[in-house]
Amino acid sequence: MSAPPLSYEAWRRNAPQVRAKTAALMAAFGEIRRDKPRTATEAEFLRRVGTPERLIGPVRKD
Amino acid sequence: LAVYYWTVHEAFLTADVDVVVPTTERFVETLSALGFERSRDGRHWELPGSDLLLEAPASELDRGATVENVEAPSGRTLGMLSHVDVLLDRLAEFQSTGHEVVAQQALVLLASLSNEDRSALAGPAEARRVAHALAGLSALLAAIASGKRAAPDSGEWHEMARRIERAEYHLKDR
Repeated sequence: MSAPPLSYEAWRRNAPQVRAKTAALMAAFGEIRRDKPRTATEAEFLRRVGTPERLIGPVRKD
Repeated sequence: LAVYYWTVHEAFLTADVDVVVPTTERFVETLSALGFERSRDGRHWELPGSDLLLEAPASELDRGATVENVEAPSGRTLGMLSHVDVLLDRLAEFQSTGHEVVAQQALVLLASLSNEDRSALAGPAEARRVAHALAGLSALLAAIASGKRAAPDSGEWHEMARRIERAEYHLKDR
């Protein structure tokens, strides 16, 4: 028997607790900068929707 | 999207979403009927006017991987790769690439895992050949949490990944 679906509302209610559990760890990382390359299509799209460059990261040459 | 779903940290939220589905003719026709447009590289679909880009990098899940059903506000249910399987995926990727952001995601996924899931990780990690990655990152997580050390820099992550991969596959030092 499969488990009942998790509801989006339950996820939202639980989110602050999940974030709090790892807040110290995230602080230890400092500002997250993506070093994993993306495709040119992904990078161009993310730039267009306002994603900061540090979260877009390097662009892979296909 | 699954990394963000399980970690709830904005730095891990992205608008390009990987979906696991066979890219059959029917799938392509359905996306077109919904208004999605295929990108020039043929691998992505964008819904004009939205912040959504889809890619189907695989037609099926890794063997043994599980999904959790999540009910969207629309009432539809979608399958989300489980917390444990996203973690195993990131451990494998870190081991082979040494990317810092992948290691950071793996650590946060590990730190936010329930005790029940964490205690059942050893078997799946061995099966996916990421047991050394799990041990290494678990020790690192404990050291960072207790203030005994700072988070590694990019060079240290790459060196750690090389060490872990050599141990996992019994490779000689190069």
